[in-house]
Amino acid sequence: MLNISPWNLLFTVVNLLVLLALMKKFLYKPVLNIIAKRQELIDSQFAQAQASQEEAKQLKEQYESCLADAKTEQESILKEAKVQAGIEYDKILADANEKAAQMIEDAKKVGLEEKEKAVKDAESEIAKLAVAAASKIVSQASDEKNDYVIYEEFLKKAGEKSETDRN
Amino acid sequence: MEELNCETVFTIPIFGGIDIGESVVVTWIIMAVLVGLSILVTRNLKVENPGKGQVILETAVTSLHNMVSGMVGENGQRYVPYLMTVLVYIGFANIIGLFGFKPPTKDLTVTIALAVMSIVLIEFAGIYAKGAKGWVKSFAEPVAIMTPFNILEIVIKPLSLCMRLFGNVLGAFVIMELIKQVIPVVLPVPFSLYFDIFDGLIQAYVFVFLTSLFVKEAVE
Repeated sequence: MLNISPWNLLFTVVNLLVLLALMKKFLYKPVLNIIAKRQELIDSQFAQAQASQEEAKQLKEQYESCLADAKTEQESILKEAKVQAGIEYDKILADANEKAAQMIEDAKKVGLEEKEKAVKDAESEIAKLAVAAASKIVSQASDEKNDYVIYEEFLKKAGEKSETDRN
Repeated sequence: MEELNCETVFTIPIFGGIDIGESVVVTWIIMAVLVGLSILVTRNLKVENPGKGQVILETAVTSLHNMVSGMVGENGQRYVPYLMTVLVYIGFANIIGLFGFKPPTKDLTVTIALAVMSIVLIEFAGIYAKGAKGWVKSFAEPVAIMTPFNILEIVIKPLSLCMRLFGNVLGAFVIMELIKQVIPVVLPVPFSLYFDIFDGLIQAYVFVFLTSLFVKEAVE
């Protein structure tokens, strides 16, 4: 119990060193390796998850900006179209007004001409009649009886003429 | 009293006969068991979806590792495997009495060997961390007058480590043998729980804890 043998002391030291080497090789290294590997895996997965999250966020931002762009573009197009339509509308209206005015003017002119022509016709007819009446009087010997007949005839003819004119 | 003796198991017939003590043979057995168990439990380790056994193994190894590395400090991480091995070895050596073997730590030769290795480790760690000059200078710290005591510590540290372990295990062994001789049934059970298991593991922890503390002191 108390006797110390140097050989056994040496053997114990050697035993412990051998045990240390064996335990290192067969227990600590495999287990710690596995744990380190798992840690690595977890870390990489975390990093990956973070990266994909970041990517998703970026994509979302991109889409949102695209959407906003499209909206403003749509608005501007709509506005432009409205303005264009307004201009077109005004133009068409003005054209129509002008045309209508022109037509009225034309119609008025035609009416006036027609009227003038009718008056002129009537005047020339009356003149003809007067001339015819005058020539008839001159050609026939003018006695009292004749005068009366001619006067009557004239009145009759003029009355007929005015009636047909009115119609 | 023949239980107290550490017998010579066999003699190698060279150099005038080398006696192989019981403690050395039991150490071999412990080594075989530890290495065999290690190989057995570290088969088929998986990175993903570890089995129950692997989880227990990993927890055990990492908690042992964390305990020792916490004691030895940041600068002494390279000595963690040795300290873990000593902890496991002394723990096993102390409780092997349950299986009918004589604990190797009951042999003064073994505890001396452990203490010598500890002091060699401590001083080596000091030299490695501070360089030979720094290591020599560290004897005069914190004040020059402490130098003789610091030098004495080279002897006192391992001596106290060795004697504490030896005394505890021997004392426990003697008490257990006496109890077994007086009342060999039932009564030894609680005592065995205390002396063989609790005290054995505590002594293993204390030995490694103090060694780590000295190493930590040496490398700072």
